[in-house]
Amino acid sequence: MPRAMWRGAIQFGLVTVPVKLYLATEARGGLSFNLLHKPDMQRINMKVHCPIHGEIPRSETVRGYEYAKGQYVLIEEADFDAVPLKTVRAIEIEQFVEASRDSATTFVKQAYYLEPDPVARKAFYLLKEVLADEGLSAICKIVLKDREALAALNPFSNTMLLSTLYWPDEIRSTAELDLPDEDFKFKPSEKAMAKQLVAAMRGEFDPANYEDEYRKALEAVIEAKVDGQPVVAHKAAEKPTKIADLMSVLEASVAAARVAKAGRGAAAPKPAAKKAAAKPAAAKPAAKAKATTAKQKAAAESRPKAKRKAA
Amino acid sequence: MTQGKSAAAEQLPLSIETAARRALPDRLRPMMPVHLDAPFDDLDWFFEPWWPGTSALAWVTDFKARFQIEHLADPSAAFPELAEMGADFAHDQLIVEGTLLVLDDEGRPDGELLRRRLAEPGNAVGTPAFVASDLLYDLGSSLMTLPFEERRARLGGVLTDTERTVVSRGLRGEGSTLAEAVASMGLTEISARLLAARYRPGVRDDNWLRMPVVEAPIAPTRPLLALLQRLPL
Repeated sequence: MPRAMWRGAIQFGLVTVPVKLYLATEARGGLSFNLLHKPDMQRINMKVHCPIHGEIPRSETVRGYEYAKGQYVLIEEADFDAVPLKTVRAIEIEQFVEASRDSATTFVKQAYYLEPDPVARKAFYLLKEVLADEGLSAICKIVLKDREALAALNPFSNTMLLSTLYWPDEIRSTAELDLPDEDFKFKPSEKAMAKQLVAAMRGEFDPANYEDEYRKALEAVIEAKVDGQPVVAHKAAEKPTKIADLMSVLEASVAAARVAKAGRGAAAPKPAAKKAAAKPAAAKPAAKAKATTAKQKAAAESRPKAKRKAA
Repeated sequence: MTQGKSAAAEQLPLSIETAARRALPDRLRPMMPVHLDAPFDDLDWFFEPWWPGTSALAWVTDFKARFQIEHLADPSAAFPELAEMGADFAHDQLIVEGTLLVLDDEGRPDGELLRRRLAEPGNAVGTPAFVASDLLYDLGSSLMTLPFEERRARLGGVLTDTERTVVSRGLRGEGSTLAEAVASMGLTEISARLLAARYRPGVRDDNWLRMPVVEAPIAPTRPLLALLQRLPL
């Protein structure tokens, strides 16, 4: 079950359709790497650094907007509070437009699937059907991650797709390019030949036929390296500086405890109980997982007492 | 942004969420754990460190946080750095259960620094942090009748780790492994929660257990001792 990004409601006129949003795509373009300090293979920290004072705590940082070269105006939380926003928790439909390929709706930032609340399914699919029949897109506004975004709502497969769009001032004009003004005249024979070529290469688009070959090759290189030499173990850093580091230390300690345990094997004091815990999937019968709440509660009540006696 | 949000909320009379929003209680009596003598292994349970801080409930409203600790006290003034913690959550109108910690210069949780902060709210020693363990209200609706497993999954869905706020790490089933790991960090206790259990406010509930990392009556506090305990003798 994917995780909903956002919950709210589509609003148009007096109709409210509660929906959830799910990311429709995930970025898998590149493989990501961690920067390590070569001598000890530790993940490096990104410190906040001031050219005058050296390292500084993040709490001493403020947000400035550079309105002229080297001139900043300080923007504080209160200033953000002063920005009025209307479309919170709602997808407000502003208007319906013809779905065309030559419009600003071409420039999509991120696509989200919509999942209607069960009580509002009928209204949701009615809206979808009308959009499909009329060949329309709904232009709407939505607040995502504290920012108001412009978006287009379109029928898609068995749901609808909300595509957040670039604001008009974010879309560059084609006037900046070196494009000819005149209309070209083509001979009928030239056009016929080009059409013939296009017809020969025509087919149904099946994305499964395409894959990221660079990524695949890089993965192969990494796999070969991992096979060929011991993996660099991530050791716990000596001095964590923040809560996230403390969690990393815990994760590393758990990994170390697991290794230590596996190494001890049958010499462990309570081998049966510990082995069962080490292999969750295999050790527990499926029936146990489906136990009723009452049964689990009974187990919960008996176990601590038993343990108390044992210890 | 806060004003904008609440104003907009008023404009959604038909939304289901709006009605539920008003249901967030001002105070909530926390559930309390039952003490146990030693760690155990059981797949029905989720184990996490008992962080050396103070158990707390955090209210997130209009993406600002306030806290409630024992005796329903509000220590928010002692943790001004955490007021903005509300912005770390993807949803608003939440009550989150967790632990308030104060970290020393080396990033270790320090009970003494925490006590000094609580005693003198103006005394901003160390770096405060909040480790979230459970989600009791989401978008103004109570989740307390849901199983812990479901609440924890939802918590992961609304909180992304930041420098001050994290989702608690833990292990399902492997209490003894977690106890060893926690002991090697110089910490002394772990917590276990029954995955199928609902949250029962104000109750000392044996679906939530708190236990020392080793079976000895007095838990060692030194990492060296903890290491000795790990030897297969």
